[in-house]
Amino acid sequence: MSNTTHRIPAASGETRLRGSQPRLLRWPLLVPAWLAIGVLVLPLAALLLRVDWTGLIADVTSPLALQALRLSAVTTSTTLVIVVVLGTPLAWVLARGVHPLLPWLRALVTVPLVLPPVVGGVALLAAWGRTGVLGGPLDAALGITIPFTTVAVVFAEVFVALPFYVISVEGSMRGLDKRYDAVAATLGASPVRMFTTVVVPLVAPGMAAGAALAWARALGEFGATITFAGNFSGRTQTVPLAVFTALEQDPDAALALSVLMLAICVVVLGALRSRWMP
Amino acid sequence: MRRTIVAGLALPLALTACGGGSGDTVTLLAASSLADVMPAVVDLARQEHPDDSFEVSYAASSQIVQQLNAGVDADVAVLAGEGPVDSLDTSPGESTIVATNTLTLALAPGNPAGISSVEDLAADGITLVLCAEQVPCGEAAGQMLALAGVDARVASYEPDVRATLAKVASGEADAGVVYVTDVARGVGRDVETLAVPDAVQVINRYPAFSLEGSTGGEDFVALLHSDQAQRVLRSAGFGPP
Repeated sequence: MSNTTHRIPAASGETRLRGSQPRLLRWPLLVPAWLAIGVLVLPLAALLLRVDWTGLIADVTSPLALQALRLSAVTTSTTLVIVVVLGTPLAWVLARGVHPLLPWLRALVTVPLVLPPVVGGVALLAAWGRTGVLGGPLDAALGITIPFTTVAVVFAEVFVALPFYVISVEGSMRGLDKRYDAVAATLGASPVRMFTTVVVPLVAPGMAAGAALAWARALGEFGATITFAGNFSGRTQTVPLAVFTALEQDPDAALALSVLMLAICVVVLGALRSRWMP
Repeated sequence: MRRTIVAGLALPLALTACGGGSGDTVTLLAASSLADVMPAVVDLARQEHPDDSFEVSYAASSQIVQQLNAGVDADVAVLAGEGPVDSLDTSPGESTIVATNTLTLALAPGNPAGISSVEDLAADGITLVLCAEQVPCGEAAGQMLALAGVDARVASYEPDVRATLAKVASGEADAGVVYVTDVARGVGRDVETLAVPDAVQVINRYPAFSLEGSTGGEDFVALLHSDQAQRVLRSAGFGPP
């Protein structure tokens, strides 16, 4: 966040340091660095070159695109509420708990972060599928099946987005001075009251950043969704699935939706710029 | 075992179909429904052209068309329907039908929904999965349901026939419309099948074509028409062209 304190204070010192760098040492670093930028930026620039700008509005307001956008809006906002309600207390437990098993719990929470999403989808089917460990009894007792429903889309999105939120908020909570806890306790606040009136307001910026990251991750969710929730327009076909489906039928619509997703990602990162811009 | 038998049979063919330059790489794009049978056909091609190497990539036919339109470098393509050929930006060399396939109903293990006819698919509470409409198996399934006059509520349009069968084999869906060849080979051994009546059956034709005058590709198309390759295709459940 604030890394200004680590800077070398005198500006003149900085320039002298840069000037003393041998030229020969710089090229071996600059060439791969520029290549890396090209690797990242060229595909995105190509996307912008290929898109049919005149038909962009018509493409993103086609019935298929609108249904996908509406479904993505509904599922990702539901996901966001669930993630914040469940994730904030978990982050606090991970940040302040002292149980010897907590490091293992933290590692476990991080797993979906690095797991291929399609594997997440298979795991969700194993748990909540009609013949799954939990889904089987649920179907037998109440006649409720989750796969192929909008609920399944939310399950998939929560599964992939929750770790992003928890890890991000836990970081902010660890940075919190423990004396606040002690003061609140001596003033007679219960742990729950202390959490809601002291901790949450203090880590609100961290929560907002974590929520934005988790939301962006949920918006982009593809693998777990198509595996666990299937692909049906208006019910489980979110924007990424619509891009995948449209790519074969209507490439222009797929490009238009891709550009829209890119724009949304840029806006989200822009809103978070204080987190990664020096 | 099979290798030694076909080696003898391949010899006359090798004499008639003269190969391209030796040491070439022949890239084949094939529809997902060919994934099980194609390795055996490629084995035949390897015996015919021992110096060439063969690479096969499987995808939904619509994806293959998309890859070709994006300029992917391939020698030969075999699709699961004639529709996708029309979507090619540049018309390929002459395309010929090398196999046919028909539809069947795949039912979840134990047939929990008690489906006994195509008409049953319209019943309430049945979870039906089909291939997406842009894939040949989805197009054929749509035609079949229309012929049968079944207005079914579809739970999901899966990306290809393999994904459709997987949803049924795992019991997540009650029924799916797949190719006869998919259940013939025994993936999802527990999947039950229900034959589609001839009156509403839809026959899918598999066109093969070489790309940009590739001799390796032309040879492969010729091989697909050969008796040995046809025998391999037939044993996997495919119909004659």
